Amino acid sequence: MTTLKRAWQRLTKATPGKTQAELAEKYTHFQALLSANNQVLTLMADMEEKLSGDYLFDLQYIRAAVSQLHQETAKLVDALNGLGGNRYQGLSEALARISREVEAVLTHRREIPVAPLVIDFEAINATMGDVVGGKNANLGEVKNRVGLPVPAGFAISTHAYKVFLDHNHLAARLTELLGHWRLDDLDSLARVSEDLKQMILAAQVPPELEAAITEAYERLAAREPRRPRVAMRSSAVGEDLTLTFAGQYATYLNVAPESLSSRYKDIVASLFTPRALFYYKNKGFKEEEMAMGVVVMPMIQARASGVLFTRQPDDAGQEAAFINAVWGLGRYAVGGVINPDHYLVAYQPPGQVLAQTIPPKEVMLVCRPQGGEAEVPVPPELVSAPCLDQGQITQLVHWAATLEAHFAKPQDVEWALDETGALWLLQSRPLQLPPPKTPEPPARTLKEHAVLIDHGTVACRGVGAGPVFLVRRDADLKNFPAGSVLVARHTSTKYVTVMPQTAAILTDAGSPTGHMALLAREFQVPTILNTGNATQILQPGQVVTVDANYNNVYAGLIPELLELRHKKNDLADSPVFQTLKNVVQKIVPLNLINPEDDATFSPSHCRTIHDIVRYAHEYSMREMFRLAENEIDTAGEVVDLDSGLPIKVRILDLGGVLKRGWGRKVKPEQVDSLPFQAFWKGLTAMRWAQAAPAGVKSLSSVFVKGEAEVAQGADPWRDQSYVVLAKNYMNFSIRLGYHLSTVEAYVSDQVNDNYLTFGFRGGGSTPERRERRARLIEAIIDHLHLNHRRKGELIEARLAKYPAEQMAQRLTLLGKLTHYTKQLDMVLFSDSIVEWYIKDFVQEHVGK
Amino acid sequence: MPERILVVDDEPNMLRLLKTILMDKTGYEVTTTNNPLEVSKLLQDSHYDLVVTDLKMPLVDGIDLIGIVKNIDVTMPIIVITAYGTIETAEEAIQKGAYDFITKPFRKETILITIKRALEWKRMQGELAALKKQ
Repeated sequence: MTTLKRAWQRLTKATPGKTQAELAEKYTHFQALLSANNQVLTLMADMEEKLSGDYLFDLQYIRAAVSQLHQETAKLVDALNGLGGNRYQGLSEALARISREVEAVLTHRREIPVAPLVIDFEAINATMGDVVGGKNANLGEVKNRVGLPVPAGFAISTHAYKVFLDHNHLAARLTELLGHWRLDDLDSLARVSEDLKQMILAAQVPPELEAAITEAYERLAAREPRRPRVAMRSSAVGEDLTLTFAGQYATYLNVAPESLSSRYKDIVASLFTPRALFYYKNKGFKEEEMAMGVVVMPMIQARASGVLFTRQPDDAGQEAAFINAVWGLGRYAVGGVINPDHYLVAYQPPGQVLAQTIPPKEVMLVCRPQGGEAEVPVPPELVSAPCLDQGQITQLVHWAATLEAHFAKPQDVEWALDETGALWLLQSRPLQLPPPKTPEPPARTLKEHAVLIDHGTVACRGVGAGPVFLVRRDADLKNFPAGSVLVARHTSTKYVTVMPQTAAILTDAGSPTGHMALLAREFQVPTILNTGNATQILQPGQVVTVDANYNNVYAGLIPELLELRHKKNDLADSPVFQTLKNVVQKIVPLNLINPEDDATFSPSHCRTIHDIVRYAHEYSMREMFRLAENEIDTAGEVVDLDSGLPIKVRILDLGGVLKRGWGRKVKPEQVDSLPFQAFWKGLTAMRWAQAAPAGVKSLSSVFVKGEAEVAQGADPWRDQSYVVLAKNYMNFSIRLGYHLSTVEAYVSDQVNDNYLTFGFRGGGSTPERRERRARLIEAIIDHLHLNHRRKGELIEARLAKYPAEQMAQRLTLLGKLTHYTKQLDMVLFSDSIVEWYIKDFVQEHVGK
Repeated sequence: MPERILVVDDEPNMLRLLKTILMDKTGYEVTTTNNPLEVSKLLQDSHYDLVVTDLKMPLVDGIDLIGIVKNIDVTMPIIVITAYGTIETAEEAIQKGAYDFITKPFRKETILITIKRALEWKRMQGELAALKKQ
């Protein structure tokens, strides 16, 4: 744009402040993006924290968190589109896709699998919980894979349940009735439950199901000496597996063959007790996920029955199983009607009875000839006799050992002893035990060990130990030795590549809601951030123990701390915990690691919310960096900086930065911008030659040889610096002599938002001198601990997530550097002089 | 004598987790039920020092349960567990005589501290009543 045109614009104000308004709008988008970015990171951190095992939460929490997360991420993507002229539609699409996936996890529906209506036990195993229900699946597993004596029997499948509903057109009515009550109206719940029960009882078992059940029964009967009566037990989906339905469903014993169909309906109806309904609704299950299978097995004419716990609940650490036993059928073994026999039996030597009580057992339950159970007196000679002999006790404790070995969990087993003296296993499910008492946690700081660091911010709790490995730049990660403690100045998502082999992470700076902290929690790497000086205190190779529970780093290995590493998470089995875990899997893992790789750092590669956020944050910074390049030349409303120094600076105020009247000039002290003040302080810290140090013309006559170089930097009208400012933001395009550089920064109280970018774009000089200048700048930047890379004479450097005062300090140093190197243009006549100047600057200004 | 706590929650998983947490390293004796209708019988049959209850349950809700418990033992501290975003109901619970409420999700430590405070409060109430009698 020509001088004339500008002057004309100023005079006529043909486009008063239009560009400025546009820029201000972009800056507003940028701030909205930063704010949403922080919200999202905080929400993600919160969700991960809930997975630590220290919290109790419910499904409502997950819903609320996901919904908030979605809102904030949408804001973030909108802001990026606002900033980039809707160039990021691909990211909006990626967000929509990921949101759908998260929603699918949250509303995960159990489909009832298509399967035969009845399935013999021989064909069932533990993986078939959805097909036959939990109880059947466990029985099949024990019979076929563990090899313990389970009676022959069959399962009526969950598919049969679906066929039953479909045959009677109940699915729609079920949905309708279930819609009739709300969580806050409990009277309606009782009504709906009763209606559903009546509806099921009035329904017809489809002929094909009835035929299948009868056929299966006949197969069963053919294997028995006489036509047996059967036991029918509920086997709901999830029952005895992960969900706990504390005996909510029906069981019928001694069922006659002609009653199979009606008892089937009774058991299905028990799916809709008020308690079960409330549970389902409250937990966010859909009614179509409720499904009932049924166990059918021949009635064992039990001489005695009871329960076998593979661990004694009061003292699970003891190597002993616990058995109780009653005469007759098993219901009295747990019902509290009579006192059963108790046996505490050692695993080694197997079957040795450690303790037993044999109280008198006056009554027992037996099968009535006409069906059902009846209570009868125990024959006098048996009242005070033990129900089990040593051989049977030994056999049961063998079962216990076998079951624990197979399921790797203590089991709660129902058993029966038949008239011939044979033992049968009727049910096996995980035994719920109170957790073992853990020793008192050790003191916060172990005084007898040398504490190297006792401060910082814990990002992931835990304890880890190993030799220190300093990561100064990304390339160091290639040599990261497995099991080391990663020590670095700042956080970086690139560390994710070594996290699985990392004992612990320590950094000088960083925020616990930052990207890397999220990853550290995902990989469960004990992490302390913001130690300030870990990189200075710790020596490479030095073995340390990091206690990220109490923010301490000790010299050497401390076994008593390391023992605490594997803390038990008693929540991990609960369905709500699993749901959160699955949701978090769609949200937190980071796949977009390397922003320099355009092939993978793209919206189409976003797999998680974290990827979206990472992408948006990176590109928002790029958009802001480009602001000055693209738009400043056409800006209408600029004012000049009246600095008294030979540097021409035009200021574009994004809002509220300039304290001035109507003048066209402002003094530096009238500029209310944090990053600007810091940078300006550095720029003016050193003495400036008062006359224009080297007139553009005269200098260019020294170096600029031809048209090409004139175009690169010798145009006198281009020797003009621009700065776009807001209170927390600066984008400074500096043209000083032959230097073209951009310093951009956002500095605020939010550590997560803070960053600075330094871009050195070179400028006219001879190739050797340009090379020396670039080397000098790169070396000094390295001393400032900025992440940097250089391509020829182009240098890009960045620093992020340091507290405001440290950002300001770096900006001041960059100001000094800018001035320093500009003055050196004339003197970089040899390679050795470059080394000298590097040393000089570092000693003078950086320290150490 | 260990202090005895009765926990009422309709959701068996929550109940199990609460029991695990309350018994771990504390020495409390914990009884649980997922049937609020059973509470008055449990309280009449044996001695408890504290009741922890969910606010939202089928058949009897937490607010009603406060009245039931207070009818049996007016000094019984009750801690109510509420869902996120139901602060009004939580306040109602306090007005009805609950000792405190705690909002899901919560840290394990939080409920342990609340219980400890409630039990101390009950002890002090007892000592105060004894002093007044003298």
